[in-house]
Amino acid sequence: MIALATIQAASPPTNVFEWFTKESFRARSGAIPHQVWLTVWHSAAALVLAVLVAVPLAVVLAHYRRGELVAGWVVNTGRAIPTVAILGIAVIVSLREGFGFEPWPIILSLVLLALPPLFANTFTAVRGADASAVDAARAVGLSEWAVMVRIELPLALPVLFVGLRTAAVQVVATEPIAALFGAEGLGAYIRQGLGNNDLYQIQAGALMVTAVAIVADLSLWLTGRTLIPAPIRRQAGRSSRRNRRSKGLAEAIA
Amino acid sequence: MGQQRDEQSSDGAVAIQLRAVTKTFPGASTAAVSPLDLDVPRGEIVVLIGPSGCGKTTTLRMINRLIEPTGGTITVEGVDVRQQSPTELRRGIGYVIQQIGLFPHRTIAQNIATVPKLLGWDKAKVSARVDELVDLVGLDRDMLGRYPGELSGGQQQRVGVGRALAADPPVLLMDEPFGAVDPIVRGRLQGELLALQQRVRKTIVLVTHDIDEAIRVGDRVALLNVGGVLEQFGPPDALLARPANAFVEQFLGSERSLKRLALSQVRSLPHERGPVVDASATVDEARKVADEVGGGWVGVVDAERFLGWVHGERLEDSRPLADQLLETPAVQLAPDATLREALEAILTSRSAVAVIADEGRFGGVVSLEQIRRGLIA
Amino acid sequence: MSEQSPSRATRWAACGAGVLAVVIFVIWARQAVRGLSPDTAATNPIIRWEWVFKRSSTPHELRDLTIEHLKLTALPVAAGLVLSSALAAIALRFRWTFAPLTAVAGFLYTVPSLALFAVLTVYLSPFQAAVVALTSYTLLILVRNIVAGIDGVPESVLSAADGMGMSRQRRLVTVELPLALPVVMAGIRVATVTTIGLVAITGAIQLGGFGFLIFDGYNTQFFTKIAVGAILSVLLAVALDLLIRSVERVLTPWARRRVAR
Repeated sequence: MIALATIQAASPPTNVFEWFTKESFRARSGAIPHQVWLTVWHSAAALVLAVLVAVPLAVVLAHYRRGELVAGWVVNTGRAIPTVAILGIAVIVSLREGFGFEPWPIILSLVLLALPPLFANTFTAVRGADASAVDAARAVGLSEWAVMVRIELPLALPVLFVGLRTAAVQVVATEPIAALFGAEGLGAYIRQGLGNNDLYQIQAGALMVTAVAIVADLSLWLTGRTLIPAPIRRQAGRSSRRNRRSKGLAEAIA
Repeated sequence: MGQQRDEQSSDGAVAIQLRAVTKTFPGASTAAVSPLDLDVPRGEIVVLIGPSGCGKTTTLRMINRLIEPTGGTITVEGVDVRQQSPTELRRGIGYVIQQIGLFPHRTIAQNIATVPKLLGWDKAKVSARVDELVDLVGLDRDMLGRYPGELSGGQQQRVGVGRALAADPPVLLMDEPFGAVDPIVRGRLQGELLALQQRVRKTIVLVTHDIDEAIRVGDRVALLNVGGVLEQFGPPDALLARPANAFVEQFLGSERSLKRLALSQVRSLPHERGPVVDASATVDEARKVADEVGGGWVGVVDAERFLGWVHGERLEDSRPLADQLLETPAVQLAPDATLREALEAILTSRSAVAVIADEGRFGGVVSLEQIRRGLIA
Repeated sequence: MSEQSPSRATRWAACGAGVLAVVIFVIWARQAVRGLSPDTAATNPIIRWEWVFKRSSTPHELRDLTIEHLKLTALPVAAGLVLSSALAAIALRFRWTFAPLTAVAGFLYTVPSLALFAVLTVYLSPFQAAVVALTSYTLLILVRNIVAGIDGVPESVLSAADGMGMSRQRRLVTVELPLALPVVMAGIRVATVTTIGLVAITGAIQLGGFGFLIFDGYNTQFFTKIAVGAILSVLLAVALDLLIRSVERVLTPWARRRVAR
């Protein structure tokens, strides 16, 4: 199942940090920047697509108070769909249809992974949007569409970003699985390490993935801070403090 | 003009005593409660009232040590509260709060049984006590198996009071107990509290921000200013009649005299028979009474029953008084009606005098002049 | 996620429809494979039902995989619950530890599961490694929900409990824990369902439950196995989700009756 690189190195590293310093070990799985780039690009594409699907759907469903039950169930059991299964099926279909190995099967399976937290958080946030603000917007004559885009969505942004960060971390941490199906990316180090019983290479791969995940999380946090006006951020903090139980539920489904 | 419940009040003994009690919260620059002395007589309702920040709730919560005083001593029934463990102390003091704080996951019966169970009562005793309390606070027994979420706000607060009384504590602390219900229910619950107090005779300390509530339920009112300064302490009527200073006067608001009227009962006025004649009297005698004391009107009483009013000019010489064209008054006041109700009756009565009827028997009249004199007294 | 519970009728209708759908599907599938021999190839290129219904060793293979998948789900969630309770207790007792604790749990979340399985197999047996790794992924959700659940107990209820002279421990056990239950159970549900999805990845270390089917199917280019693995995984999640929901309903009768008001 796992492609193996074979040459035994002359002086194997004695810890994970040494692994990074020895050019020869790095060379086996391709240059590090290239693999980082692949992981980042797969993850980013999947996140963008997932946002494009989940956010409008969640805003509309939450605005019209529709399909709450069904959506809740789909979101929760959606977490149980093994990404490996989607990947396997997608790779086989993609190969059969001639779309090739990368990147669509990988991105598709990561999109499915990112949907639940994004959808759940956006839905909860819109549902919890300040009812008086929505009322006032209608009262001054905003259309339903304008209420969604100009009132509910902005008010939902803080919680939406929490979901986005959760999704980003999950996507980045899961992307290496693609390597099990022969794809390149940071998972390639882990795959090779598994194949060679090379603990340090596995650790190195894990470290790099974790680093990318943390960087993604932090940069999204920063983006949120710059993008969302402070009053809305504080408002969200206040209301969640006031109603801690609903915050708990929001976290439960995040 | 006497205090409404004077004759039933305390035996004079002090149940709760605060001496130089202070509280400064950590990090606060000013004291929440500055040295405060207060005596709560046994069996009375003492109301703590004042603007926000006056430390009324803090003071209340220091009595059962939900807040520890910074200085001073508090004794309950002669025992310093700090000599007991907080949990022991609290089990002996009933506690009712505005948000009620019923346990949503326990049935009404389980809620009421909380303290008896903490005290280790046996099952039979607990369930007997629960039944007793449900009756006492006026709930149906078939509510016992329900959960608080299924009850209305007023019913929940009744359960809250029942729960506080469960172990029959001598002292009850109530923190804005009726603050969360609508005005109609609030009025009813206040009445129920007074009726309940007639039966159980607890020492009650009640916090409120509603001056009308304070006047209605309090045997004594302690008016606190910001920082826990006691501005005046006394029976509500004393506050209304003789405000100690401008702050008290301002806090009590306008219409102080009208508020006082609600505090006194008709029976507290000196008895006055008024411009009334017996049915056996002659028409001339009646006409004389109408002219001299009745301002034109005379009342006819037959066998202790008040028959009605008749104007002197309408009296027909040929008929006995009982057969004259009598105007019956719209209301006859019971002796325990308030002076406010009496005033209302006077204003709507053609004769400008209200009639007192004690279970149908004529008990005299109330005139505007009598009320005015009562207020000045 | 729903704040308002669906009516009883909706609930039963949904359950009934689900059961009916499964029954109809099984009847249809058995019809569809009638007459096919076990080695029929290419009659149905997407899913070859004869592998599921005609192959004699399939049922007990699937049974073994189900048991393995269940074990790999139940053990980590149970262990995670014990561990999270302890961590949440610390976080509640010493508030300042909450942020670092969740930060560490969040960090564990960023570690790629594949790598964690791989690294741990160096020190532990594959099964132990899988349980330890999967446990670590449940911590974030569970700790957050236990703390949020206990935090969510209304101030007034706590105040009343204190005012009546309940000790701290008694208040925790008889008031706070029961009231936190709905949020805690929601956390357990999410943790369970997420773990079911993650178990498949342990296929990379020769375990996997239904994940074994997925990897095996991929390596042999046998699409049916992947599909069966994925579908069974989701079915297991739905079943456990339902089970936990019913346990929650039984344990929180007060929440159910509130709707009736």
